Amino acid sequence: MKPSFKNIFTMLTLGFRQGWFLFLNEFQQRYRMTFLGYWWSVVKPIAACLPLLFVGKHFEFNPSDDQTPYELFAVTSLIFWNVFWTAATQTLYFGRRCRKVISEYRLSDTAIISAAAIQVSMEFAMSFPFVLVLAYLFDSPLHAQGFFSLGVLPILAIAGFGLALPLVPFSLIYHDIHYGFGFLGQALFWTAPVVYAMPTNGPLYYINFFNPISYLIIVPRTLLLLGNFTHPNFFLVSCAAVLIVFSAGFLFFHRSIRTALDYQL
Amino acid sequence: MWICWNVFLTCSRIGGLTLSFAVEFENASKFQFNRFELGRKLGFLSLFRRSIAGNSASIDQFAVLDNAQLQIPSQSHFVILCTQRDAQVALTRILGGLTFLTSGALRVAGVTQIVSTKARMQRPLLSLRRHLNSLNTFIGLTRSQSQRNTQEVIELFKAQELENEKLVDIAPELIAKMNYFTTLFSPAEVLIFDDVYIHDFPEAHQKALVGKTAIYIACRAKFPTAVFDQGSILHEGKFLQTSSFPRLIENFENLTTLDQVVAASEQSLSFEENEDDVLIEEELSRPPVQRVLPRSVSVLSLAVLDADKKPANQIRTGDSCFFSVSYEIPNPPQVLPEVFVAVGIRTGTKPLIAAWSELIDRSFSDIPPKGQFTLSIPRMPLLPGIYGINCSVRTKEQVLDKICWDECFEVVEGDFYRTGPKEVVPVGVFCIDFDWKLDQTHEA
Repeated sequence: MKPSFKNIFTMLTLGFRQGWFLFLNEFQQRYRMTFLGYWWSVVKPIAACLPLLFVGKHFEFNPSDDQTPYELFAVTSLIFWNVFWTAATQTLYFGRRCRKVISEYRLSDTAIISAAAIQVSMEFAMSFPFVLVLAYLFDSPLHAQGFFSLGVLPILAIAGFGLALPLVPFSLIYHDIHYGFGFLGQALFWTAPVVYAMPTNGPLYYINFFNPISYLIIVPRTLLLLGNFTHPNFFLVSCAAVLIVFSAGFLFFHRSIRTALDYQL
Repeated sequence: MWICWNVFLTCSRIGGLTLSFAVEFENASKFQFNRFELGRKLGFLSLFRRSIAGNSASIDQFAVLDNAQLQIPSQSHFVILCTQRDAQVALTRILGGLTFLTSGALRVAGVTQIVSTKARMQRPLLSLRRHLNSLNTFIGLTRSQSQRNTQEVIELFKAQELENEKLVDIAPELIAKMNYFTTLFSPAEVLIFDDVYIHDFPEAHQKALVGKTAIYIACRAKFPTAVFDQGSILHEGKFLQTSSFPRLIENFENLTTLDQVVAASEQSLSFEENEDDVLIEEELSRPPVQRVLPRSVSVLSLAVLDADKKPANQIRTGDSCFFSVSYEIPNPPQVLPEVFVAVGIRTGTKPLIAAWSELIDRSFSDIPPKGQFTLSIPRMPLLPGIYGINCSVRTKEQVLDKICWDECFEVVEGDFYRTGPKEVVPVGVFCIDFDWKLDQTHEA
């Protein structure tokens, strides 16, 4: 196929449609033998938040100069963090679960990304109303500038894809990737100011400072809760770094996935 | 890291051709791990050892292709017989674009599509229509193409009442057939069949193959040979080729049983270049095997022709047809006595029709070194089915050459009596000319 805008558009739409079918098939299968069924997709994000809220409120992780209730602060951050982490885990998940489909059909390279993106969108759509509910319960206003925080969501998702895509071919051969990926999530979670405010000094400050995910969490959170656009330069640098990492990861995935499938047991 | 290294060592090109060939392998090599020997515990060591040894085959690998050359003409029906099952699977995946070559080049004129009864994305809770739509999407059709294709398959099987049923409630055989026709109806230019199926809808099958190249990759030699134009054998990484189908089947069976290749003559193996054949020559160093029958006349191929004298793999009952037997005399000049030609049509081992030239006192003298005998049947009497052919050239004293084909051609429903379509379907094997009258002069 010759590279042209029409062919690229055709490839993207084909990839999206293939991803849609991959997502739909897996979504049906996932909750087939459960009592709660599709309600698990609502229960899971809430259940994950509760212990963190309890501990964070106890140790007063929220910023001292901020009037925003900690519950709202933490849930908002967690929802944005989940966009990034769900994008990463679902990319690995679909790559693993659909390996037979990928090995039997010439799927578009964007099919797995599309399936993961649809999953991310669905989970965000189901969990974001909790922010509105909490804002109403705590009588804490959300700012109109928060609308622009939706523009950060694709960047967060792309960051997740960029992290997971190069690992998909390896994960088809070595299951260690799946076993160890959770630990990576834990490390990344606590190295970014998700459930706590970014400190002003100390080693954790420097870890947060140099972690690009920090700004991808802080910026939409402050836009929504405070109406401010903080750290604009670092945010733009983070976006550029995310796009570069994603591009390299996508190219590697495109070149190596077929070779990795040859070594499937 | 090893995968990164391997990625940059892989060099395979898939692009458009300007020649008349649909598929071209050029110095193609593909080495594949024997999956059951590669254990996970030693996975890293095996990979490390392979990366040190380079891309040459090691103990853990077998050669699917080893500097292989092959050119498949456009719009032909080409069969590749593989002596190893793993090679068949791997070659299907290579031609389908699902895996890369280790080295060399594969050029394809157009898009390839593997036609198969299996659908990996099949889920039991999907409805039939959605399953077919998703299958069409996975093989790369646009939305409109996908819906059109799905509708066509559902109408072919008259399965309108089943389209919203879940797959778990539908017979697996029906789903498998619908998967097959869904992939068959795709707009790909090159269709790859991982086996030779006897299908339920021959007209739809034939219509789907018009203007396309069909490549059949099989492990067994039992299939209707009249369907195919040419063939090749994939043995130990190389494409071997013969100039006629009887030789192809014979060589394949010898390779799989005796591991030797039957020589076309008593000389060292070299396949003759024929204008009608694909332009590949392969010379083997194995010693030739003696044939049982010394051949002064050699039957090369049989072609089934329709009423317009065009090659056909299906003949309608009642239509005129021709059987064209190509021969050659290996060692001219040779004075031959008058020869007779015999074509026997059978089902299984049971003979049905004996079209022997001796029966009509037809013999042939002073035949040229190469030529064709043509048998004409004004009205095919056989009822629908798959039939085999025995063909022999003989003198009065001995048989000069005899070739047998199983399941060679197919007879489909036709109009033997020229009375138009009827609701009643004749049973039996033959149609014969007959008449009915009422005798009014007879008194009780």
